[in-house]
Amino acid sequence: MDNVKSLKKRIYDEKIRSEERKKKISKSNIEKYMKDKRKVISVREQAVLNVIEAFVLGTVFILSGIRDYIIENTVEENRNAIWGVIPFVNLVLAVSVLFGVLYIESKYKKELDDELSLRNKTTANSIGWILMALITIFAIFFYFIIMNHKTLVIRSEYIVGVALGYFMFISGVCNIVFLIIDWVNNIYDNDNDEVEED
Amino acid sequence: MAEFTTRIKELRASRNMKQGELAEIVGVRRETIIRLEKGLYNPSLKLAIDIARVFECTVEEVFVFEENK
Repeated sequence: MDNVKSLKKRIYDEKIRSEERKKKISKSNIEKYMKDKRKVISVREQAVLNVIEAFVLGTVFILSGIRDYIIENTVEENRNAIWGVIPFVNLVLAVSVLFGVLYIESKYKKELDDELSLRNKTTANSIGWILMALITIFAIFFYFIIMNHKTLVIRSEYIVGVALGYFMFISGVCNIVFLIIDWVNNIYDNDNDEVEED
Repeated sequence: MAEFTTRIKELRASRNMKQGELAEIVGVRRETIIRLEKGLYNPSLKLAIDIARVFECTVEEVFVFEENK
């Protein structure tokens, strides 16, 4: 019985300590944000950036993942050209997105999420995951029923790239849903009086 | 079904305060204040208390739940 009590107390104390830690981190983040004099990039703009980043990197991952598959299914004379183009396109896309994001992050400070944006993001993530699940089911249905394939060969060489790309696409879709929710909210908010006040 | 309304706009106007200023004080985005003023968003208890403290009122004076007849 005493053991149970002491265990409960330990768990409770640990919970309190972690809550205090979280509060300290959040407080120091807010302080840093207030001291930062750079221009603000809003939550909405951050979502747009995330969409671009997710779709470009998703494409890079998928292209690099299925490169061998594409080459195998290409007429022999064109194989060398495709083999040369895909890594080049991947490199250009990856480097330009990476430097673009780094440049923007150095120029602007990110607006912090508040409870409304966090709630919208949670809703967007749920809708985004359900949407991607439906798209995946439809794609499998399309592959087997409409295209009439009997088997699907999953190879270890390209599964990593495709999986990473798929998760990037999920992230992109979630951000798009967040932007749609934000846009719908804005339709209701567009008669705010702040413009007159400023 | 209770109808949710707020007096934030009125209290803000009486203190000559902008939406952005209130948002900065309570640590949220201006969009959140706009939605609160229109009664389109139910705030957390913490945010409700923070806003009430800014106007030196009680939570009930700022946020009103009216039962529909």
